[in-house]
Amino acid sequence: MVHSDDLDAHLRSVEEDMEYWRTKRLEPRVFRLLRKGEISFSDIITSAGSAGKHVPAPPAGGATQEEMVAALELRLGEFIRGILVASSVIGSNVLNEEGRDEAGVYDGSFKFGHRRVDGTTDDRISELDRYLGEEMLLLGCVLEVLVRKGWVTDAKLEEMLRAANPPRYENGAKIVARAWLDPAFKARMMDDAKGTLRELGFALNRTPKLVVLEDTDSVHHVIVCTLCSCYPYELLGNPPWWYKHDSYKEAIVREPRKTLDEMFRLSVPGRTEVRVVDSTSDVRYMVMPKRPEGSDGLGEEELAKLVTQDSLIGVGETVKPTVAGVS
Amino acid sequence: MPKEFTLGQRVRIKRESGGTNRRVPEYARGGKGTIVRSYGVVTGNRHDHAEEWGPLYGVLLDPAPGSSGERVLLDIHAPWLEETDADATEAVD
Repeated sequence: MVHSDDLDAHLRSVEEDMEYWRTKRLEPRVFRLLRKGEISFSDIITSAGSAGKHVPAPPAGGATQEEMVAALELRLGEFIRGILVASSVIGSNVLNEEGRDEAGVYDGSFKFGHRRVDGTTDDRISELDRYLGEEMLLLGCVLEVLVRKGWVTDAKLEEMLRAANPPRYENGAKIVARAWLDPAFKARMMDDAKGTLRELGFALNRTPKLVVLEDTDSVHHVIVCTLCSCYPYELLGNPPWWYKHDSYKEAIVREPRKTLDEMFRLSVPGRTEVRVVDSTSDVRYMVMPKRPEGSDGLGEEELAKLVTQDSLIGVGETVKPTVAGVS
Repeated sequence: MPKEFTLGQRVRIKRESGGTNRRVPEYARGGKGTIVRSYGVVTGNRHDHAEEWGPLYGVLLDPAPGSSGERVLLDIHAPWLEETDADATEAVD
C-alpha cells in the first residue's frame, strides 16, 4: 500500500495528469487544426515571441522536494486552465462537430505516444519541470495563434483565462460550515444537494446528481471511484493525487479500516461503522464530517477553516480549532 | 421498461448485464445487497453515457466473506440487478 505522503507516487500522478492533458486535450486539437489547414506550423512558430503573454512564467523553484512537486502541480493547473480556454475558443469557432475519435480517445490511429520520465526523484522533478515548460510554450503559441486568426480578441482571451478559475475544495468547506450552523440549510441540502447548492450560485451543469453524506457517531463515510475517478469535480475541483491511484481504490473497498489507518493515519473508533461509497459517474458524493469539539461559538468563516480536503472525502479528520488558530 | 426495485428490497448483482453499461466493478458482481437509495433514471450525463441506463439504485452490499464487516454502498443501474430471497433485513437510509 502506498502512503498518502509518498512523494514518488505523487510525482508519477502529476506526470500522468500532464500526459493526459497533453495527449488527449491539447495536441489532438492542434493536430486537427493543422490537418484541416485552419492553422499552419509556421503560424505556431512565429507566435513564439508572444506566447509568454498568455501563460504565466514558471514559479520560483522550491527548496525541498515536496515544495518542488507542489510548484509543479500548481503549474500543471495553469496548463489545464489554458487548455480549457483554448478548447472553448477552438470549439466554438472551428470544431463544433468534434468527434471523439479524433480527440485521441478511442481510435488507435489517433493515439499520441506517451513519454515516461525516469531516474532519481530529483531527476524526475527537473525533467517534468522542463517538459511542462515546453508544453506551456506550445500552449502560449496556440493561444496567440487564436488571437492572430481573429477567433478571439486579446482582451476576451485574458478575461476567459481569469474566469477559468477551477473550483477548489474550499467550496465544500464553506458548505459544510454553513450546514453545521444552519439546520434548515442542512436539511434542504440532505434532501436535494444539487438544487440547494445551485441556489448558492454553483453551476453543477455537468454533475448529474450530488449527494452529501453526513458522518455521525455511528457511521463514517469514505468515498472512492474504483472504476475510474468520479468525484464532485465541479464543486471541489481536482481530487488529491492518491484518489486516482489503484492502490487506494483496491485497498479501501477491501479493507477500509486498515487502509484509513495505514494510508492516512486515520483511526475510526470501533463503535463507528465505516461505510465505503463507491461512486459512478451519475451520482457524485461529498462527505459532511462531524463538527469538531471545541468549535462552539465560531462563525461560518472560522468553521470553514477546520474542514480539510481529506475530511470531505472521508480519509481525514477536521482540524481542531486550537490547531487552526481560530478558537 | 427496465424492472424497478423498492427501498429495503434484497437484490443480487448479475455477473453480466448484456448491455453497453459496464459500470459494475468486478468485486461486486455475483454478490448480494439491499436497496437503500433510489435515484430514478438519471439523464443529463451525456458526457459519460448518451443512452439511458435504467433506474439507478444505491445498493448496500453484504460484507465480503472474511471481512471485518464493513460494507460498501455502490450505485447500480436496474439491468444489473435481480430479485433475490429476503434472507436478511437491513436498515434503510
